[in-house]
Amino acid sequence: MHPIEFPGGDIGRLSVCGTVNDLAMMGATDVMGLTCAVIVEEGFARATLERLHASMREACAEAGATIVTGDTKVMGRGELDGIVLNTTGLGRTRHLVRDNGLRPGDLVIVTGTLGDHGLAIMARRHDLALEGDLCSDVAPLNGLVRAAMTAGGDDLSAMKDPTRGGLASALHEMAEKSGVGIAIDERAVPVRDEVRAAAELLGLDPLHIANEGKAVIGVRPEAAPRVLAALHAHPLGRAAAIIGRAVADHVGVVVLDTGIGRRLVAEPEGEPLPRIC
Amino acid sequence: MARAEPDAAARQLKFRNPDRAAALARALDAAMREIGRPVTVMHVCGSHEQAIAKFGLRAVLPRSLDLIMGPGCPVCITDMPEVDEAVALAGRGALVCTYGDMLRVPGTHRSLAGVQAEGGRVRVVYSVSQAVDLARETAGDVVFFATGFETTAVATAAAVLGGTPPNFSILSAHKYVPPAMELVAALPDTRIEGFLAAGHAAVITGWKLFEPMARRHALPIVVAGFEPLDILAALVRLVELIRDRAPAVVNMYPRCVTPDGNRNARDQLWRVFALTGGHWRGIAWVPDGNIELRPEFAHVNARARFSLSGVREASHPAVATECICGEIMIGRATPLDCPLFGAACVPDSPVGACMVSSEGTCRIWHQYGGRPDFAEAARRCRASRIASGCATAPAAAPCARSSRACSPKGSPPRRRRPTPSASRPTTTGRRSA
Repeated sequence: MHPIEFPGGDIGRLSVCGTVNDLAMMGATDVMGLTCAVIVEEGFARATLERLHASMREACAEAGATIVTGDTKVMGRGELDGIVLNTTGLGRTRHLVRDNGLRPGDLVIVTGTLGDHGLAIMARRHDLALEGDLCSDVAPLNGLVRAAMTAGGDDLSAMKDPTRGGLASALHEMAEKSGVGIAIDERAVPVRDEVRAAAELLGLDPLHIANEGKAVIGVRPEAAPRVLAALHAHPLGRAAAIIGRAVADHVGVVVLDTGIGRRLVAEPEGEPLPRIC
Repeated sequence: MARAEPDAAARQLKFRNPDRAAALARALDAAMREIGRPVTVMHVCGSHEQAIAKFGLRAVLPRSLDLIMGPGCPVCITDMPEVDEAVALAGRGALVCTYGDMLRVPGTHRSLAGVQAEGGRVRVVYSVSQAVDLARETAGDVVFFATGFETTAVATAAAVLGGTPPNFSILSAHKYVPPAMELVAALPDTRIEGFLAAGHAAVITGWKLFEPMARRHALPIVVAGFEPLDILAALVRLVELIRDRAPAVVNMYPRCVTPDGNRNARDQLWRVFALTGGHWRGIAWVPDGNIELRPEFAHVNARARFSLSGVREASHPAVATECICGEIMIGRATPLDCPLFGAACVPDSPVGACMVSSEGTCRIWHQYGGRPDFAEAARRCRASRIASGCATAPAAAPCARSSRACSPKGSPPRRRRPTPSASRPTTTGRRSA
């Protein structure tokens, strides 16, 4: 992970949120415990390590999670690049949600703005002198998901977090595994102005950019209003929006209505890179 | 004949207004009906193709209007010996700075990304000035692999004239668009009846530059901007000119483009650079198609400072024999005509250069669907899933494969073979790194 510290978070926060969110996406919002393996390169700055530790502690507090076991190793200089954090976790749920439960007619909700994390990282990684407030969205989503599940119950049909590969990858996987097509209205997809402008400048598609604090939720249409209301009532879900629906046509294919025309949404390949001119 | 006065319609554009877009699509349809036969027009700009694909414009074009992309992707037409030179420099210890989409362009043996993985020093930059700054911060050699058309060449020229540190040099692979348009227009079997010219290049060259070409080939040329309505409005104008048999040059980007362009930028460009003939990958030798540093700037010319002649001689510019990139770039074929497209040639293991760059026609068609036929895309997707053993994967028994194995542009099963993407493990649970 480079850089290990970035606007809005760091590798410590990301390591906790990543596992908490993987659990939450299956409905396991009650985190029973996390494990954490820490591998540090000889010479790694103690002050940085302490900052990462504090950041992990803070993320755990937000998620109501505890790191119950782990291990620390130091490796020689040059044998790894700075630090590696590896977390796993155990959570429980009465209602297992998968990413394959979409049915034609289900509505697709995203819980907030897209592209924030990936662009903040990219701007820092490539030293892009972009003005504006690009900030990662990295956050534990179990509280938000709990609110959505309480409101939606069994009408929550599928869930996935749009991390690497962004919304495009998440929707593709949900469509294919569920055996449906997905139709998205681009105008309904929440993207912050700073992110949209930076993405256009760099020739990137916000739908391809990674998020670390958002979920894509499939919901039966009759439950959509109350799930959306529950999301809006949560601090991490204020910008939640219905962005499209599952359809019986074009199975496995995601189609985007741009307001002007229509196009396929393909999965990104590799890390998005700023392009020429 | 030259009527390049700002068109009133161009001034009123609100760039992304769906109602205006629908009205322009209707106007396009009406003009095409008056023509009453299929028409093929060409644009020559990767940024145009990006906008056309990103906003799904082909979905609203009349079926009888074929809008194809010509040699407009600067990354695609960067020749293999040029990539090999950059790879060689990175391998010899210089820090090679370049634009992000050059990283994966295949060289004879490896790409810049490949040499980077082997320990070579390669850095993605967003501008030439970023590369100059890097040179100021380090003692070692910093080489800017300068690609792109006159649009980016102007920035390179300005950086050179602004003064660079002694450890900085330029490996120019800059290209000049107008000769390539001439080349396509002069092809004996060309179907092209008109051009959309790239607005950003015209900002520098001015629209009058296109008048002799329009006259010579009796083809209308319309200068277009990059918002979806810019492109639709320019297409309407171009089709009207074809209908009226008027080989005029019309400026539909008057908020940026003037008759003579940016003289200051052009002065700087030609003070530093000169035109020379060069090979464009997959196309041909293009007379005056390359932009090379003038002899008086030999001190910043990487080719003069480092011995690279052996590298060029060892290059094998031939791409895979089945690849039809060249035919695609001159408008004689579309990606769907290529047997490799979506099967052996995909973005993470490209065969031809058109699949490498985010501006390449094949990459854009792969990403955005090119000519949108969603039922066909789904049929192909299903066919490739059956071919790869996923069958129809009902929801209760989810397909274990990543959706990457099920690209909407996947080729029919007969062409399919195991590709890196088809054998990749599921993406479930992957995290940002």
